[in-house]
Amino acid sequence: MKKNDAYSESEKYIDSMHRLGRAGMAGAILILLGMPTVIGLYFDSLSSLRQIIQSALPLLFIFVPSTLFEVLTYTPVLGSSIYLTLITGEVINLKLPVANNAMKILNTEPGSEGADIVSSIAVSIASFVTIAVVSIGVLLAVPLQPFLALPAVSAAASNILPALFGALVVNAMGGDLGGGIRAHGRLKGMIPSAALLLLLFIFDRQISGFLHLDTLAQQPGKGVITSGFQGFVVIAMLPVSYFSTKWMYNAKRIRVDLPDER
Amino acid sequence: MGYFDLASHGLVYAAVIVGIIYVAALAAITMRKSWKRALKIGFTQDQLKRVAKASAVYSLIPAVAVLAGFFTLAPVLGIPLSWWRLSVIGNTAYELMAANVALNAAGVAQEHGVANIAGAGGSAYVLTMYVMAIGIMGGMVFAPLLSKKIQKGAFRLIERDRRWNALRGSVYMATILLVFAAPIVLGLSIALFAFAAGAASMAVLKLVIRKTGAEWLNEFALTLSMLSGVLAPVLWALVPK
Repeated sequence: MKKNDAYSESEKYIDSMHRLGRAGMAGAILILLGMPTVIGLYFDSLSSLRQIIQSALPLLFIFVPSTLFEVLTYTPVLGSSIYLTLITGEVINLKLPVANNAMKILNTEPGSEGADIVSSIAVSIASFVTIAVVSIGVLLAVPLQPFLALPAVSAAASNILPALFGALVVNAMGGDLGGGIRAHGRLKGMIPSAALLLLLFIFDRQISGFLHLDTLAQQPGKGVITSGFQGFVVIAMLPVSYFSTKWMYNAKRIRVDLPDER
Repeated sequence: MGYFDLASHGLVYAAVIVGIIYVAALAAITMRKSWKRALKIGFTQDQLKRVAKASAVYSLIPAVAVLAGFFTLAPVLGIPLSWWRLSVIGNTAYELMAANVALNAAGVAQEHGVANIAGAGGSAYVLTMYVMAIGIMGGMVFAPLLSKKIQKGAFRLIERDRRWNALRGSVYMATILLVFAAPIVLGLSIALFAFAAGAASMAVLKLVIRKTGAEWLNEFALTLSMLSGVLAPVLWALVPK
């Protein structure tokens, strides 16, 4: 009985977060579309619906699949904070690492209510900081511009993602799954994905170079798929990682210990 | 009215400020609800403050990089729209690409591959606003349809098989890391230096935490590692050869 009560309380909270997220998204859509509508009406510069849709189509072709992949891939990690994450953007370099880091600090079990809560707090704080930094930057636009235009600063900015991923990869190694749960040999499940990714990387580079897609995408010498469409690659690799890990777990090649078993 | 007359008009500033207040308020409500619930299920104020502090410190560096993007966007979109676009969905790379697509569609003349905005009309600006908003709205439609179902599935799995749920959760993050790290590692460029420096710093910090029991360092490990990775190639470039 007590367990049911606790579960329903937890479910009530998660439901309310999804309601808040959905309402928040409806409001954000209203503002995103309302802004040009009000300005267009005021200045008599409104475009026709047909022109808007026609103009947006090239972007929709690229971004509808990638945003669908984002929702499918990031929701299991971010929980109900996916809504605020998508509204405020900068997912891969800011919201996902900050949520993951927060869950690691408080050692929460993946997919649990605790992980959802901690991730929501982290994403909210990250959103505040970005809004504050960009707003202060706008106010100080003139004095800050020379500093941000320094070659050292732009070089440092382009190193953020590689540096972050280096740290995250090391952070993700080891058997700690959060909440005191430990896995043994879990990275074995990632070997098929890593091998496939290596093949894809070589193939992608050759094909992109051969068809001059790399120069078209302004990424000379790089594979266009592996460096420009990572969202698609994550979705393609997820079933491979998932089922190979599941197979090894079922075959007892990966062992998972609960906290009270050690 | 011309493109830049609209791009710096007071009405656009007012609309952007309303939008930013809305997003900040949504973040505040989300945090308040989560904080209250966290205390209810047994987290302490001290634990939550640690998470808040670590998240704020970590967010500073990527936020400054977002700000650097502001100076790339502002000459194309004007100050208020750039401010708005970088405070909500997307990222700097998307915003630039979307602005180009929109200006192209608005028929703004291109000179050497760059849109000649100075001669564009106000309607091109309004169309740009629409296109940039609509282009990336997919997530805002898919999340309300799918996210709750995905999360409820995870909750049911915790009840059924707690071990597999925890392991499965780690597979998502590991795959994301693998896919994003592969081009950095295999690309053998300066990015690999940043990656290695970030990884080495994290490994050293983890070792220090384990050996000394300095658990407080956990809160800053990601920020410090990222900072080392960001600065290592810059400092290396300064070394006289």
